[in-house]
Amino acid sequence: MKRLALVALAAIVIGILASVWRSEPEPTVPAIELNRTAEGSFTEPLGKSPLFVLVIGSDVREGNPRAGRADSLHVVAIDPESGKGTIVGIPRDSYVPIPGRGSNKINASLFFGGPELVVQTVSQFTGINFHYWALVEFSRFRDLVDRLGGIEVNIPYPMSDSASGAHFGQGPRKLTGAEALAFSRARKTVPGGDFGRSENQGRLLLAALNKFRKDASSPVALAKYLTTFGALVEANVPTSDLIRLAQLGRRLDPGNIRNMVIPAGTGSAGGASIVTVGQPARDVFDRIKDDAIL
Amino acid sequence: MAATVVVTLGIAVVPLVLVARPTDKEEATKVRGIRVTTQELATVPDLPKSRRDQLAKDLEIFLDLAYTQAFVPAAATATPSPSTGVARISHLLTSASRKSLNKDPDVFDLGPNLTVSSGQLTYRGIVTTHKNNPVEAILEIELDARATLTDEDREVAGVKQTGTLVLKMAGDGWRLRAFDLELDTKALPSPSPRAAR
Repeated sequence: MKRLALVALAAIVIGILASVWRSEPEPTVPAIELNRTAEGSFTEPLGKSPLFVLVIGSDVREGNPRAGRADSLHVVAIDPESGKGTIVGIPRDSYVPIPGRGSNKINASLFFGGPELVVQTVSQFTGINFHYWALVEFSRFRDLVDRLGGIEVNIPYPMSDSASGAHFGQGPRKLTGAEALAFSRARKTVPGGDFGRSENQGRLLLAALNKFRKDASSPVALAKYLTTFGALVEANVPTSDLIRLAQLGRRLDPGNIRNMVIPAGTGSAGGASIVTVGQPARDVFDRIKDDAIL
Repeated sequence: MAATVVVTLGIAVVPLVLVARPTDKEEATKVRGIRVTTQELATVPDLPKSRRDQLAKDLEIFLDLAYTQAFVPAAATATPSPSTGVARISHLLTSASRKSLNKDPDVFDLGPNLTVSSGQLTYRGIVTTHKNNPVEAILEIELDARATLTDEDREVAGVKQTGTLVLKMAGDGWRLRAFDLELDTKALPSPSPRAAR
């Protein structure tokens, strides 16, 4: 009897212990992942809408670029999200209304009121609000290219232009500052005359973008670009936008940016030859206004 | 018989002691936390070296704070700290980058129970300035660190983070404005008695 009681007691104790053990929650062991890779990227956009920059080349040989005419005018339109865009050249003789100055050749707007009036004039004519403008004259353009080590350009056709000094065979070629200036100025022997010249200037802008992407991959190389640009190019880019613009530039593929010149005719006004711009040109700007893409 | 037992125990225990306990010298030279070093810093426009050095020092302090708080949670505060690296450094982010990191927090998180014990963060970068004052900075960083299990000394993983940080100067200091980062954690091989020696 005594033995039976002991066995029963043992069974009860074992049963209690078993039930306690079973009701105890499973200990939680947080998962430890020793081998893993994580990636994350975020760039605060410059805005959701396309970015518009007016690039102005003054005909001043050396000195204050505002003291001359805007002989080179390009609307650079970029969609920051897709990286696509369009460069549209505006011939210097385009005859348009200049705010407060009546109608005149568009290049005169620089002399009348500096880059600010050029921006107003082009904005009025195109319907585009520009975020930034950049202005450079001959000698600073030359220095810019030289200080950055030259620029590789695909020369579209053989050039032999005594007036500008552009003598190049067709094909890719690394240009010095003086050669790049000659390439951008050649007009008389270039197919399309002033239109062809404007297209070549667009080619230079794309070549510059390509060079920037290749060269400015490290922060220190980028610093060289930003410092050189700041020293030689007059622009209204605030310091707070410099790095975001540079980051955008590094992401852009020149192959996704179309280069063109506005469709326009020729005529004369007051005895001077002019470029007549009408609805076809306005249509181009209407089309790039929303997404920068033509 | 007794001598045999003592010798056997001795042979068994000595290697265990060698594996488990670093020497006094190792203990003394071990660096805890993350050390930040400036490799190269340029300014736009170019500023005198003394000013660049000052800016580099400020950036080192910011990076030290951010990375220690993100990856060394015990060092964050005396009060209970948030559980994720991103939450612990959220006060050092701009609101836009905070939103983005909250969606994709892994680049600043080692996961549960892992803590960086020691590491080296090096960076090269640019600071844009206006009237001598910093405006933004773009930094290429490389973190090379070791991680332990929380509350343990044994280093179990190597941690590497590489990529770009963009910082913005706010009224009271730098804030992380944008990033492009990759974080790799790899298990370290378990030390063998021979390796420990």
